[in-house]
Amino acid sequence: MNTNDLFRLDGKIALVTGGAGIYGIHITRALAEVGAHVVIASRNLEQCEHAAEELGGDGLKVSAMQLDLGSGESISSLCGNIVSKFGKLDILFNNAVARAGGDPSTVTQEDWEAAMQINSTGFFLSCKIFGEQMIKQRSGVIVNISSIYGVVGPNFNIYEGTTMTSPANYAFAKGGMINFTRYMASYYGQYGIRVNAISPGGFQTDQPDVFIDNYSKQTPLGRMATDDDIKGAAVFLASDASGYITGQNLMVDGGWTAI
Amino acid sequence: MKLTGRAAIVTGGGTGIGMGISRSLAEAGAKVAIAQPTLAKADAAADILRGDGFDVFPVVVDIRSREQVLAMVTSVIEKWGQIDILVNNAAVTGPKAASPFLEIDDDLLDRTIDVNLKGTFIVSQEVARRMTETGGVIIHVSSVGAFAAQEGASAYCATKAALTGLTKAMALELAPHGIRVNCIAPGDIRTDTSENVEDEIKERGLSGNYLRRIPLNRRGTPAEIGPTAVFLASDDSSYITGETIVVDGGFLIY
Repeated sequence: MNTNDLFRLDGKIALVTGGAGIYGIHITRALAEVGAHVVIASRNLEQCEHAAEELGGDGLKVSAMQLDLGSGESISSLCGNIVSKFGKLDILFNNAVARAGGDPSTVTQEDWEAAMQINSTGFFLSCKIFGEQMIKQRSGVIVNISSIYGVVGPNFNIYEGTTMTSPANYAFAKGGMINFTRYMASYYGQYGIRVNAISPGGFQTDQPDVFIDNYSKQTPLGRMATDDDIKGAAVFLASDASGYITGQNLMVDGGWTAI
Repeated sequence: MKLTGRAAIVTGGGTGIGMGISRSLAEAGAKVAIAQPTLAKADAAADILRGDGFDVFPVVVDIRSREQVLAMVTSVIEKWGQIDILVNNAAVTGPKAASPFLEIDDDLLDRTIDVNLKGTFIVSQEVARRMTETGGVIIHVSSVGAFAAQEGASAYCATKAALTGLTKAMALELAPHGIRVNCIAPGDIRTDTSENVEDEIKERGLSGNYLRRIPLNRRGTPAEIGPTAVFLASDDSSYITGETIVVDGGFLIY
């Protein structure tokens, strides 16, 4: 197949959990722009519907569905809805994350358990339930959105002068996600299912200038990640262009972990 | 993932994985200088790709010689005005690099280090000195041998592991010049030199015990490495630098 065609996703059905969120929306757009029909799902159906409508206005194929990652029943029901509407699921992006709680001085047991309900149990059930559909198909691609903080520890110095911090659960969940990516890649390989992770660096939103400055200085490329930075990596790992890649964690971090 | 109009050099670009990379870059729209140590192989590869309608040209270079590397850089710039993409793929590899650690002689040691590490370093330096004017992308081709021991390949493994460090250090120093530096680490890829790797390992007195079934349960092809090079060469990876992408069918998972 021609190299350019390998990067296309025409006819593919993709699910992006949290695909209407500030980060997920760029993954959704990227997959849809190369031809996939993308289902975006979260607890906030209204937000998903709004995003689907907006992207639809740009000529992209995007559908909104309901998903509560805190409920196995909700995940199963989403899987059933996707299969009954589209007949299959080719691509799953586990993008949704719960950021409950702060650093160890403030995080409570309740915060921790609430985060784990989504980031551990919800993530696992998503892999299991959608993975079972992919096993039936004998094909599929799973991409897990981890973080630089799943690979290295947080540098707390960059939060100086702000009220920001790095949540304790985030390191635990994202680090676990990366080795679980290897587990699933090993287990699902026999069914023709590839499983990879992407570890992005910090995404610039409305953080204080001092933080953006501190962060950028620690990065060889001298900036935080912006809207388009995740798009290429998402398309690459979702498509046949990465057909021999599985169990890999792709850093998209401006060189943060290289130094 | 378009590379329309970009000028690329692929060392070792006429055979094996390098040819897969040359073809993919060309399919994505790049002009490709195919650098080989012998004219015959450079010409043969260039003829094939030209026959498919691509803009390529053969260059002869021994990357151990700074003089020859400079001549290559000059000839590409004379032809295309600039170099946007460099893929350091040339390496002493396969049976030629295989020997038990206790038996490796100075000749094999020097050849492996001089081509795989020093040659890669020299080409990178000379190309980067010109890329600082325009920005660009440098991609090293390493191996899973950088991360996991391969029997009878100690010198090879050492040079490939060195590329991991070189990738990160170059990424840091070249970022201010608009040059990104990344690395691809292929797993077991079927090429002419690795066609009968199992038999050859045993012929050389190695056990072959560490060959294993991998998650995707098949060897890869050069055509499966090319698209990763295209991704890393394109603006679609503009926030990726200092990274090694392992393309191994899951080989390194266990």
